[in-house]
Amino acid sequence: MSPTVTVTVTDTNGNTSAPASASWTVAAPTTGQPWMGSSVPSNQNQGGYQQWDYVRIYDFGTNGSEAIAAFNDHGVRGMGISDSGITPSTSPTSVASQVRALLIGFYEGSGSAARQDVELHVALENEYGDHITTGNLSNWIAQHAAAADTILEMQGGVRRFPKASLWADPTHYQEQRRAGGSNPLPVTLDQSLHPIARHLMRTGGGVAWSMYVPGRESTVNDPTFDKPTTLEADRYNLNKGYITRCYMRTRDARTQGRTDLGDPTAAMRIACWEIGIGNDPNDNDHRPYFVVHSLVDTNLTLSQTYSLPIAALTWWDQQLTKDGELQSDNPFSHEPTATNPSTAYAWRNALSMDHRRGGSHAGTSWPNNPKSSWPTGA
Amino acid sequence: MANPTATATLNKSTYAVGETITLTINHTDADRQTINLSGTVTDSQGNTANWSASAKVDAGVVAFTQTGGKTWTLQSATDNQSVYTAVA
Repeated sequence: MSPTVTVTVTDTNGNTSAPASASWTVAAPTTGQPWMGSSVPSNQNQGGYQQWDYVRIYDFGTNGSEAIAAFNDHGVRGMGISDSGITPSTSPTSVASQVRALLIGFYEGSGSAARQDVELHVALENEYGDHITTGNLSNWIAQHAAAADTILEMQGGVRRFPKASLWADPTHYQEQRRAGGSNPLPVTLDQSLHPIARHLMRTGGGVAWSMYVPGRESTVNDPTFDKPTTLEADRYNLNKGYITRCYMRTRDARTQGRTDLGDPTAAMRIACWEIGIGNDPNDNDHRPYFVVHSLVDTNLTLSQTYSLPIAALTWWDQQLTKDGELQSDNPFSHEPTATNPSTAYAWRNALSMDHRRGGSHAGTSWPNNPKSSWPTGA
Repeated sequence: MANPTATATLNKSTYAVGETITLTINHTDADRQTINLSGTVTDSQGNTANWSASAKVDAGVVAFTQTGGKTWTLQSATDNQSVYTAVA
């Protein structure tokens, strides 16, 4: 219901006018209208939802077979895709060939008429940061130049694959492992991400992060409600800065990309390709509220702060595994479907459930959240 | 005595978070008028001075009820119009 203000005017003799009313609406955030998505490995059930705006998959397949299957299964408008066979040592020529086969299969293969408007966000590797060394860094950069050239292929004077873009997929923890910090990467993310920023940007792509809540697997029986910080000073605080440092690194990469492109206004996008937290089976309103007001809201705030449009926010539901098997406290896979609202429902509908952004409270208990009984501890 | 009339108009129908909402209330009252009085006073010494005063009859007071939970701040007011703002 739209908020309404009603006014009356009373004169000095006590005579009162008829009420006059006016109503308004508050628009959803204008920086980014992210697609809400889910990773779709076979052992996750995506909260019982089959149709998603966005999914994350991990293999190119043969001639785009994995992407085509995901489109057929989930009716997506976009997807994030990387390949498990490409490493930073794969030759740029081979990378270009594999990307080209993916794009031709998806956009020009059998049944492709229905897929023309689907955005393919292509990354070469999943969570790449640990794999870059001083020895393969130059090849890594050349791979992205070749992949971008392939994505930008022209045909008949126009782009052959106009809905494809190039992305890179690091993690917030890899960003935290910076030079001078603890357990530093051999090549830190600024060293590997900044040189390829121009290639991401010239295709309209960006950086797609794994943004897991630190300690996500330890929150089942004693959940905390720690809203991630948006303070730049806490960028490298492991537990508080896990979303902020993703945005700040992407912003810094954009700065380098703009310099390299000679275009001071060139755009960079951002996405979350994996995020999640363990379930709390004893409190059915904690997790839905947390994903809306902490995970999604923080992303939207930082998107506006740094003018980085969000392409998609994607859930990953394997916080709790043992010997590779999914355990029983992952919200999407194990929450009772009758939970109102379920974590999956809240995630899918977060933009309309955040009351601070014009949405409405869902669930009768939400106006009293966050509860004082929810511990914090980050 | 007649009842006053009021209309309420917003400057937009949709606002971004944090944007200023401007509410214009036009209010009229057929009975409203300003009475001006003036005269001369003379003291016991025979000194005189002119005086004047005005009084408004049926001035209006705006009252709010709302579902938006906003704090409305008066920005300007005349006999026939009051302008308030709030933050979306």
